[in-house]
Amino acid sequence: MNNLLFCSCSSSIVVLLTGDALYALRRGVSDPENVLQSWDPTLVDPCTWFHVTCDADNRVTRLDLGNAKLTGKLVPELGKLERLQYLELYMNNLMGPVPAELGQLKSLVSLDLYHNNLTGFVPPSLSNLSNLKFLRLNGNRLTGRIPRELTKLGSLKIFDVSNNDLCGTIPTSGSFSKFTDESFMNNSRLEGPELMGFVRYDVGGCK
Amino acid sequence: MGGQKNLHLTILFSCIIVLVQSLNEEGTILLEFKNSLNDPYLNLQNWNSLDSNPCNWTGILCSSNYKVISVHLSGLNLSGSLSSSICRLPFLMKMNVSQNFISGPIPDNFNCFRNLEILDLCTNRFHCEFPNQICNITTLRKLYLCENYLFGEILDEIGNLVSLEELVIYSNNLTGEIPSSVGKLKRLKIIRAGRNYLSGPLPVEISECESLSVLGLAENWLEGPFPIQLQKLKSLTSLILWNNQFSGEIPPEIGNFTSLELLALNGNKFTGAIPKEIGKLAQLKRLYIYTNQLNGTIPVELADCLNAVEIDLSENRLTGFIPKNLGRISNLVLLYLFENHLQGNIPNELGQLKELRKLDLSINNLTGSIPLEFQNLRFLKDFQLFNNHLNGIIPPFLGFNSNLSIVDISKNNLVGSIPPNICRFQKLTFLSLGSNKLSGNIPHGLKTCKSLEQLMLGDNLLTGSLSVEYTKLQNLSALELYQNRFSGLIPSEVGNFRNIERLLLSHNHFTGHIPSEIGKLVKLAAFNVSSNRLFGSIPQELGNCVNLERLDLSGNFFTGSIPDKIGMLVKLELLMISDNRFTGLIPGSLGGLIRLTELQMGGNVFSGAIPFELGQLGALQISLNISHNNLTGLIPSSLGNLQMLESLFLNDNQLSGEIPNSIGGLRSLMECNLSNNNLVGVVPNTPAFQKMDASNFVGNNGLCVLGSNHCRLLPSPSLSPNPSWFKKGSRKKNSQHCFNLYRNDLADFHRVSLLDYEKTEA
Repeated sequence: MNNLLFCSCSSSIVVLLTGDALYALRRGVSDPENVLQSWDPTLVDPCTWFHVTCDADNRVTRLDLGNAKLTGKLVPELGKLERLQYLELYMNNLMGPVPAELGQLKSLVSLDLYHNNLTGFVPPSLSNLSNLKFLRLNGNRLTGRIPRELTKLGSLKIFDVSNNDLCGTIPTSGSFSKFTDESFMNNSRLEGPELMGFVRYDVGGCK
Repeated sequence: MGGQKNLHLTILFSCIIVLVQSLNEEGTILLEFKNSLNDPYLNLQNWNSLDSNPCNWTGILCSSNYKVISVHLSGLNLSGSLSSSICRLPFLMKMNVSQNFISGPIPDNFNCFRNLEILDLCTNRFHCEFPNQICNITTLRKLYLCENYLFGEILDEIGNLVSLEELVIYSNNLTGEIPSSVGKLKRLKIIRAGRNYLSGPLPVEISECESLSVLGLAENWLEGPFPIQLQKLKSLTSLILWNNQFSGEIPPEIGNFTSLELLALNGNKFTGAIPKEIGKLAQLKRLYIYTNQLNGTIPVELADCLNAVEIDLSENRLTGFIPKNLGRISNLVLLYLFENHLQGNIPNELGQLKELRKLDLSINNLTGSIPLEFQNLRFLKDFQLFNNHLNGIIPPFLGFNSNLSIVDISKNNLVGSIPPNICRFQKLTFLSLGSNKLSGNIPHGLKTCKSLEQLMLGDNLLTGSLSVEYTKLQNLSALELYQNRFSGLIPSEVGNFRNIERLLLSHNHFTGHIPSEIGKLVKLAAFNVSSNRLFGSIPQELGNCVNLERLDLSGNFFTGSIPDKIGMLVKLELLMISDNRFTGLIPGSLGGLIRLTELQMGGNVFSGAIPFELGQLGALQISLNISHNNLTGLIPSSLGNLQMLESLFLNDNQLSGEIPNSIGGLRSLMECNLSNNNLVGVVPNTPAFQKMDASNFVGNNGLCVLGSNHCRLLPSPSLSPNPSWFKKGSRKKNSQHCFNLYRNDLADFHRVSLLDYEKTEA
């Protein structure tokens, strides 16, 4: 009974804040292949953990967990990985929403969550990822609109939300002018390109 | 006459039966209580209706006149639900059903108790609102509801429990604020309500709980300022508020909490400096204020807390020096100051802390040398000073007197050699001295340190060799010797490192072959010998290391061909073998490395064609580099499958033919260096390629870039891509004009899967 309330909870080896964030991910997912076995919070920093790549300053720059048979949810703590450039979680069985906190990953270049079971909306906060080049959310069960804010992502090269359940209109300004229908296909309730300067009242109740 | 006799006999017989058979009222109540429980292990088997009273039943305690006063059914694997019938036991004083699996609600009428003093329902699966009905049991002294699924708020009625001494409700889902009526509970000594969702500030009225000794509210959502009102509580020994949202400064009134033995404020948002009045807490044994936003310096008055056993101020923004008179706190066992902005030297006086077991001053700006006095600390177990600016030598007798377990002094400016006795008591599991300027050899004492699990010495000036003796370290999971001046061979006994997962030897002067015994290392996940002087061929036994995720052999003098078996390393994410003298074909089996994100094979003497199987490496993202080789033949169209690839380097080979259209379809490609080959035709005119510098394509006699004047092309309806929105029959127009020119499909030459790109053009 005592331990719960006044343990000396500082563990004997330092865990940097990024290690905490990653370990929160480990607790949030189920890992039948033991891909995250090396993710031991009592190690000094996460740079020795497998599937984690750090730069010369020991900041986490890549997380490579594509096709790892993970289930469970993405945790909001992932947003704390300030130097993260590549978040590769594609081809797993992750469910639940895309945490809005991912919009805090200011160094992010590539966000690959494609081919999972994610639900909920595409968070407009992703429009804060000013370095983002690759945003692949295809093959999930995302709903709601494509946030217009995403058009301000000036570096965005690849955008793929195909094979989801999105609705509403497709932005056409900014970086979105170069995306073709491949990026949006198989969303049965997507209505086509937005018509600029034309106020449109939605019939189908797209939130 | 006979009938009357029969009647008498019947009546007599009935009376005997009645006399023998009746269980008393309390037993009947208990059986009714048992009825709603499930008892799969038959722990209550002896609750027998044939007994006259329940006083011999499991878990039942009676008074001298056979009245049930205690029901104790803890840990009997009971499930089912709680019946309120039990409250009809008029003399019941203690009821304990803790550590079972009883579920459902606490019944609404579970309060007819007349004498109940102790109620323990902890560690079950009760799921209901906070049982305000229990707040009518005014005889209650101890209420234990911990570790259940209770929700809702603690309502004002809690103030009715005027006899209450202990309120233990931690680990539930309770919400709302702590009601001010707790101030009525004058006998309350212990509140343990941690791990709930309680919010709001602490009510001022808590200061009226005159008997309060332990206030445990950790892991809630409490907020507001430090509860100054508690200074009135002269019995308060433990103030436990960690992991909440308290903010503001720790006030100087903290000095009035003179009974405090435990102060746990860690994991909040406290700001400002640590007040010097903290030194008035003469009884303080444990001080935890880590993980806040405290600034200012560590007050020298902290050394007046002479009874302190553990002090943790880590993860704040403290500045200034470590006060040297902290050395006076002679019972100190734990001192954590890591991750602050502390400067100056480590005071020698800390070497007077004879009982010190755990010292962590890492991640600060400390300078000067490590006090030699630390050598004398007999109980020192965890010793961490990493990531500072310490210089000088490591105390040479470190470990001679102490059973060290964890030592990390990495990332400093330390010189000299590794202390030879650091593992004298064979307890050392983790040794990190990396990123310093240490020199000399690894001492013999480490070669025999059987407890060692991680040995990290990378980025130093160490010399010597990886002698055979090291391979006896069977517990070693990580060996990092990279960036040093080690020389000699990698011994064949390396196969004895059965538990090794990380073997990092890059940037040294190792020479000789990679022994075939490397194949025994089945747990090996990261193997890096790059930038050494290794030669010979890659043993095919390396293909047995099936857990390999990162393999780097680059920058050596390896020869021969790549064994096919490398294709069996299906967990590989990084394969770097560039800048060697590999010959022969690139094996098609590499196509099996489906998790590969980066493939570096440039700067070798590979010949033959690029195998089409490389197109199967669907996870390739960072780079595919087979530049600077002797590759011939066509670029396989299958490379167009690498939809995540960002950099493709095929330059400086002898590749011929045209660039397949599919390459133009590589949408993630930012760099595509095809220079210095024998390619002909036209560079793909997709948006990605239009952004690439012309230098990517030079040195190819027959290759032209669209827009330059020697490039022939047929006129085409549209030059810019025209997105078509679900309109059947419209074409997606990629400006592959020259596709019309050169229709002899390159796809015929290789067995490849059709891309979406090619499908829409068909």
